[in-house]
Parts: sequence; C-alpha cells; structure tokens
Amino acid sequence: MTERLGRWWPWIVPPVLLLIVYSDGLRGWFQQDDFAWLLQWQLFNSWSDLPGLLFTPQAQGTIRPWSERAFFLAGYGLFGMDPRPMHAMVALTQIGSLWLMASLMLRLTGSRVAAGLAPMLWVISPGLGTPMSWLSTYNQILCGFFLLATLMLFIRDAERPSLARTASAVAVFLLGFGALEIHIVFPALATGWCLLYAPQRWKRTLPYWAVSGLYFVLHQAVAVKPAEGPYAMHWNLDMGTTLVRYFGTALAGGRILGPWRLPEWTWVAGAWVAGIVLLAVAGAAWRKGHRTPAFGLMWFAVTIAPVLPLRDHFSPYYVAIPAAGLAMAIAGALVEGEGRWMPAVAGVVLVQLIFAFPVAREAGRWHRARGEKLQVLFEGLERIAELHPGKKVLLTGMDTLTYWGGFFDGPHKLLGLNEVFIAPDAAAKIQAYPELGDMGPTIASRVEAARGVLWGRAVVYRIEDRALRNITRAYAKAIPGDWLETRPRMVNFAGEVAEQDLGEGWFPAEERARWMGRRAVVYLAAPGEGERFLRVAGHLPEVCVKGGPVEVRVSAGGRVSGSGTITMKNLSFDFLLPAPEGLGGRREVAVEIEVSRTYKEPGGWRELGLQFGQIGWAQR
Amino acid sequence: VRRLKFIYLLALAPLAGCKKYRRPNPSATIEEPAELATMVSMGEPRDESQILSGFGQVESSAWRWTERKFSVSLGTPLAGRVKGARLELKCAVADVIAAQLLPLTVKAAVNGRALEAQRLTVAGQQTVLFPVPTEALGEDAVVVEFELDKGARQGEDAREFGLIAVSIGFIEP
Repeated sequence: MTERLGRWWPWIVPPVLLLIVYSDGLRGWFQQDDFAWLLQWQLFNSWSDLPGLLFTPQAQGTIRPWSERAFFLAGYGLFGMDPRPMHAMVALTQIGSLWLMASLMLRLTGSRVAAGLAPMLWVISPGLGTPMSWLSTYNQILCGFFLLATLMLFIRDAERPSLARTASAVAVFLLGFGALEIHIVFPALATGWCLLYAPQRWKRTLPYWAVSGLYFVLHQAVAVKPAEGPYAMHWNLDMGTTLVRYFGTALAGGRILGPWRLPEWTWVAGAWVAGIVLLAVAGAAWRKGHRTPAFGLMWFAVTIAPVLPLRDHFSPYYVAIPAAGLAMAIAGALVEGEGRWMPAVAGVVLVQLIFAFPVAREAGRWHRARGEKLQVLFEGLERIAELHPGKKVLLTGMDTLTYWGGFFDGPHKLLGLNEVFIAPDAAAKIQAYPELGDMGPTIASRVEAARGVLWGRAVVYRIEDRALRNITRAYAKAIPGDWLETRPRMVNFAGEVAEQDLGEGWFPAEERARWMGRRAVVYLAAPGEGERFLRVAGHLPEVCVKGGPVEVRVSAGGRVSGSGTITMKNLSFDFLLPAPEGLGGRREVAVEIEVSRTYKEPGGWRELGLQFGQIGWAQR
Repeated sequence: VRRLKFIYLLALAPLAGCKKYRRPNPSATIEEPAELATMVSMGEPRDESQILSGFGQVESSAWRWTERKFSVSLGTPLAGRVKGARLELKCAVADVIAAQLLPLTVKAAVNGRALEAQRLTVAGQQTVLFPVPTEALGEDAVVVEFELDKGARQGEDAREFGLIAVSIGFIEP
C-alpha cells in the first residue's frame, strides 16, 4: 500500500492540494462577464443557431467555442443558475492538466519528486487564483490543458512515430484553438522541446507551424485591433518591462495583501532574488547537461509572449499558463541541480510560499465574496420579478464591487427584467470607471424614478447583506415634489413612456418599442455633467431598408446634432451623436428626429419611420 | 476498459445536479407590510380582497359581470395627492345586452365624493376615465362606488347585469 502510494503520489497529492487551495474560489457564484455569456442562452432558439453562437467572433474578435460559448451554453442549459457543476468542470480540467504535467516531468527528469513537485508549485502560483475562481477565465485552464495534452502526444509521436499517434496529436492540437488564441504558440513549445531533447526531430514541428500560421492569418482578419485603450498593442521595448513584471508576479505574487505587515517593496525584492537564482541554477544545470529548468523557462517565455504587447492591460491571471513553466523549472532545478544549489532553489520555493501562495488563495476568497454579493442581488431580483411582475425596479445601497462585479453586465436580463436601475440618489456611492463603461443607462433619472414610484409602476429595494429590502413606501414619501416637474435624460421605449415627454410624430406604443413617422419630437432634460453624446438606438425590420439605406437626421434644442445611416448591416442601430453645445441649464430640450424615407405598412395607413428603443444623453 | 469507465464517470459527474425548475427564494427579499393596490384587476387573485360589492364570479380568469351598483377599495397613489389622478374603468358593454343598456350613464364616487358622470354610447371594449381632484385622494385608502343609470336582464336569469369589468384603478391625470 505504502509502496503504491509512493508510486502514485505525484498524481494524487497535487489535485488534493488544488481542491484545498481553491476551496473558496470553486464555490464562487457567477460574476462580471459570466452574465454576458449566460445571456447567450436567450439567442439559442434552435439547433441551427448553434454554429453561429459557437463560432461568430465576439469581444476583441475572439473565437473560443469550447472555453466560453459551449461552456456557458451547456452549463446554463443543463444546470441553470447553479455554478457548481461548471466549477467542477474547471477543477476536473485543471486536475487533468496537473496529471499531464506530472507525466511530462516524469518523462523529462525520470524523477517522481519532480513529477509531484512541479504540479504542486503550479497550484500555489498566483496565476491560477482567478481562473480557478471566475468561470469566464476558464479559457486559461482549458488552454493549459490543451497545450500540455498536445505536447505529450507530440513527444510520444516524435519518440515512437505512428499514424495513430500523429493523428491524435494533430487532432488535439486543432481542438486547442477552440480554447484560447494563445494555443497558437504550441509549435514554439514543440520546437523548444525538440531543440532541448531531440534536435533531429525538429522537422516534425513544421506542420504545426503551418497550421498556427494559417490561424494567425485568419485571426488577424477578424480580430479587433484598437489603436488606443487597454487592448492596444505596443510593439516596443516596453514588452521587456512587461515580461519582467509578469516573471516577478508569477514568482512572488505581484502585490502585498492588505493584512500583511510588510512593505510593498518586499515582494519586488523577493521576486528579483528568486528570479536571479532560478536563472543561475538553470544555467548551471544546462552546463551539466540537464535541460528541464531551461525547458520550464522556455515554456514561460513562449506562453507569456502573446500578451507582452498589451502593455496597458496587465492581468495577473495571464500568468496561469506561463506559471506552469516556472513550476517545471523550479522542480527541475531541485532534482537536476547540484547539491550546493539546493538551498538556493529551496529559497525560491520559500519566496513562492511566502508571497505568491497567499495571493493565489486570496484571489479565490475575493471572487467568492464578490459572487456572494451578486447572488444576493440576483436572487432578490428573481423574487421581485415574481412579486411585482412588469414593474420597474430601482435599487439603492449598491456598492462599487457589486456594480462593476456584475450588475453592470445585466444579470436581471436573464430573468426577463429589462427595467432594473440604480435609484438616482444612490449612484453617488458607486465609483465611476469610464474605461469600463458608461454608467448612465443603468441609472434612473429623477423624473423616471418619481413617476414610477409615485404612480405605483416601480418598486424600490435596498441591497442589504443577505437580502433586498422593499423600501418603496419610505422612498416615495421622501421624493421631492420638483422631481415630477422635470424631463427624463433618457427615454427608454422598452418601458412605460410618459406621453407628456413625447411631442408630435409618434404612433401608439407597442410592446417594448414605439414607431415614429417621418418626423418626431421627444422632450429631454438638459444633458448632465459629462454627457457629451446623444444616443439614438432602435431597430428597423429588414423590409424597411430593402428599398435602400435610411438616413436619420437628429437635432437637439434647435441645433443639428448629427446623422446616421441605417442599412441591412445595422438594422439594430445605435448612434452616438455629439450633443450640441450650450444646452446645459435648459429646463427641457426638444430632440427632433427625421428620416429620409418611410415605409408604408401593407394594408395599413401608417407611414413608418423608425422603431425606437432608447433616446437620451450618454457619456460614451 | 477500467480506465475508460473511470473517464466516463468523471465526465458525467457534473450531470449529477441536472437543471431543475428554480423557485425564487422567498427569503431573498424583505417585503413591506401589504398595502392596498391602486389598480385592481378582476382576474387577479391578490386583488380579490379589494372587490367589495356588486360583482359576479371571475370569468376566464380575466373579467367579472357587474350589477347596476358596484364598488371596490383602492390604495391612493402618492402622486395623486399633489397632482390629482384619473379613475380608470376598463370594461365592455356586452353586445347581447347593449340594446337594453345604451346609451348608459356611469356615475362614480370616491369616498362619497361624486365625480363627473360619463356617458357610454357604443358596445364593445372601452376605457372610461373620471378626473379625480386631489382632495378626494387625501387618505391612504378610499372606497370607489359606481352606479349605472340602468341594468339589463338576460332570459330567465333573475340577476341584473351591468358592465363587463376588467380593471379599476387610478392613473396619472
């Protein structure tokens, strides 16, 4: 029994450690981008929708059918709002990766100590903290699995070639592109292995280079390449600084947690010392003919390379896959290095334990705490939808963490609640982050809130620790009378629109929308501070554009704001037009919309212009 | 084979908690004590306690016959105390008794304060609106009474029929 345990411990202990370290993270609830992915389910009406849902490029031109689209579609379809099975999938995938790493290390070093130690060091690395806790970053976990699986199959095929082995390696390699774009670096990893362990076999990597090259070309065709902002690429010397920063973060956590009584520079010093020691030991091992530390460092450099140009988007979870390389390098150095180097390498492990491991564990705790807040919010809204169907919901007591941690992503849309807003006087407690998004559309205007609450069309809830408390009556009694006298800053036609805010040119309301004729007027309040745009959003059925594009001209307060064109490509239009200067301080602003062509309903009398969703001021 | 079985078991493990109908958690919100609705729907069981007199059984979960006189209790909208309101009666004059009823005068009173009477001249669905002054809305709850100037009879049925009522409540002026 003891002997058997001794043989199998590298495959048993690291998974157990994984489950212990991330016991908090693996119990986290849905948050942030998770809701956008869960909302995909509403677009899945028949099996014919599936290819489009899985493979259409989305945010930043990403195509990650397995790790994002299929993962959330299947997760929500099978289990609804229960994240536990999805977390189980994350844990199983990572356990698979730990087993693959153990097998790889055993093959590279012949040592069970290295085979067990490397996965354990990977488990405590700060890079895994977020992917093990936040479901939207499952792409990192799945990509790591595919890279390791492909490499293992490639090595098997390179050592004892056969058609079946080649086919299985290529098949897994191709599937890996569905996890994360970083999978493109696999040929570099395979070449690195060849150069270090089997130089004569490098030609076997050529087909993989060809496939990655083709993927690169295809991805460039669909990828969004912003010139500025966090996702702008900076191909310059800053990449070196970013590399050092990621290297240090993977070794020593990248920050000092609040409760620690250590100055911030200590982790930096620890990272520098650990990094220099590791490079020195790898060099010494190389001179003795041992290649594993160099292989680990090569893995780190190759897998971190794709994110180095993202200078302004430094994310610690990007080191999830590269950290596997550091773990292999350290474990390799321990078993292959000379005895005199052992204390130094043990010091590197100590730095990881002191600085990096707590950061990894804290990431799990933090995500769990954030998820609990969102669960309280979501379950409260679910109950509100049952108790007050059709009513607008106003929320107070929301903190910044809950707002940006998920409310902004619209979890209520999963419940069919489209009118959930922050109460006007409650928004001040939420920190604005313009780079994350415009808070404007999520905040109810005073007049909307007053009309809704005082006429019984809205309910107000305060977010508390464990539940949402209905405070509608108290809120209503505190509403100042002048809130009823103003105009809204945004008219949302999906909800109840007060007739008195509409001027001429509108047809009677339909469900969730309203048609205008050739020209229509809507009255808004003056734009608020920072609201520099006029959002005009809605939809036109295809039949209205068949005769050619529809030009939309918009003026506000008698001054031209701008125009837009609706074609077959933007039937769901969303124009952000510049707000004319000098409107501030006005009691009301008449916004006039005019279209170049109308569509006459067959058998009807209406000359239809546009069908609206929203008209109002916006920050961006 | 044993290894394969193990892999299948692992793959199927998440299915153990397969999706079930999710009932909202009743303790997810803390509600205010119940108050009277400002709008009552004839088919809504929650509003039943506000239907006072002069109505028949609910039909098709949506409407009720009224008698010549009928009444409901309503909560008053908070804004009504500032801006007044309109009393909305969504109803229909049934074709089968339209000849007996039309033209029809509908009187309404809020807490005994008479509102301007309205006259119906056509059969079918309609919305009857009565302007309500702010003074009539000073209380948290009011009794709203309606009276038709005539009723109708159908065949052997001894009952006197009035309108088909769908909902009654206060809306913005």
